[in-house]
Amino acid sequence: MDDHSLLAATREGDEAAFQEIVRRYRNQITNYVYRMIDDYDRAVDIAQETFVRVYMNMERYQATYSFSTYIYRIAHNLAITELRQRKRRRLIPLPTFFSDKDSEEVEVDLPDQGQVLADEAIIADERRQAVTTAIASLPEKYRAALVLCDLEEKSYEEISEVLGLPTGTVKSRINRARNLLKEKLRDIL
Amino acid sequence: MNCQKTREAIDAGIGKSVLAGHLANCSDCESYSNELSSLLSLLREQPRVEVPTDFEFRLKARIARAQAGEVESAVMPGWVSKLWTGSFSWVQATAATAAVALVVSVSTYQIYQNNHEVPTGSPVAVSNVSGRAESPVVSDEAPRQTVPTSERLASVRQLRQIEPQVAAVEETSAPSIDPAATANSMNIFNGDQGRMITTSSQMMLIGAEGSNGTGVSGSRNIGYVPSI
Ligand SMILES: [Zn+2]
Repeated sequence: MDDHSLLAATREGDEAAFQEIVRRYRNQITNYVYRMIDDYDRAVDIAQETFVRVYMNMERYQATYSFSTYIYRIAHNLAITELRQRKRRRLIPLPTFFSDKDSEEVEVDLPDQGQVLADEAIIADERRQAVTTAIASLPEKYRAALVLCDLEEKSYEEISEVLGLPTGTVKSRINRARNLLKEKLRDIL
Repeated sequence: MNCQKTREAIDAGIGKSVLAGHLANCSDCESYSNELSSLLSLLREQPRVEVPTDFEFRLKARIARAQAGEVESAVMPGWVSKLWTGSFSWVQATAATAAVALVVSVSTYQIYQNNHEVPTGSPVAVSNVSGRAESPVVSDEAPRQTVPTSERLASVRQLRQIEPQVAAVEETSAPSIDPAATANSMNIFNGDQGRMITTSSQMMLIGAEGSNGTGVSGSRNIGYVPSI
């Protein structure tokens, strides 16, 4: 059953239909918000708030966009609100070893080639952590475009609808984000 | 195709086979292409987070609160309304309530055990503890144990004030607590201060919320609990 049919069923009082909507999107939305705000517990909280808003506005929802676009858009706006509130509270966690302003700190410290004891799993984990940190350190407008494109695998058109931007702007933000990441991750690419 | 067009094509995800002619003769564009491929692989390898096992359970409660909030906010007293409509987890609320009950029952039991201990010092009733340091009492005391031990009893002996109900039963001198202060309130043992305090249930719930002792939200296991 497609999303719109599930929403129609939910409006008719079918709770299982809404349950299916939640199952389909819960991890996607949580992952997107997590990548945006870099805080798992808050990401779960915001994902919940996203579903509450979907549910509470069920009657008003109109299928102008795909439901996927609609729910990502709600989640994106909540994530941006969270980031702004954090800025006001000055609680933005500092990236541990990356900084946009200091390219000297871009290097990622990996074990030497000759260090045979280095466990491949540890290296892989360090690489993942380096990528996570690099993504989190991107300016939020580039981060949103990149995460939607390269982690959530959304089309340019859908990203442009989620972010409310022309497709051309979306493409240039994605490229800018990738170029920033390439600089930050030069040593592991 | 020139370098700029080639790179635009690479950015747009055009396959290498289409661009092979240029890439074979241009090492700059080739390394640009390889670098982007490596980056995209790294991004695709990124682990995805998943919701905790109680996600639907909490969501269901949250939707119920949101629905009730629209109706209830006009009817409820301010603090009840705040709890009801706020982002307060019912899992935490349940745990907090249980913890409060445990503290009170354990303390009461221990006071009974020490039935000839005479409270010393001046009784102090805290009738309005909003925002004070007493709040951590739940997280500090509740999880320790369910059965009194000598250590715990020793701390009870240091009490300078006990619940008035217990004092009446024990026929010791009852501390003078303002009856108004005990309405909708409970007396609990504060470990930091080493004495009983009177506090509202609101205060205790908020204190317990701050402790986040349930730890449920940290779980990342996949699972499905109840229906929405
Ligand atoms: Zn070229």
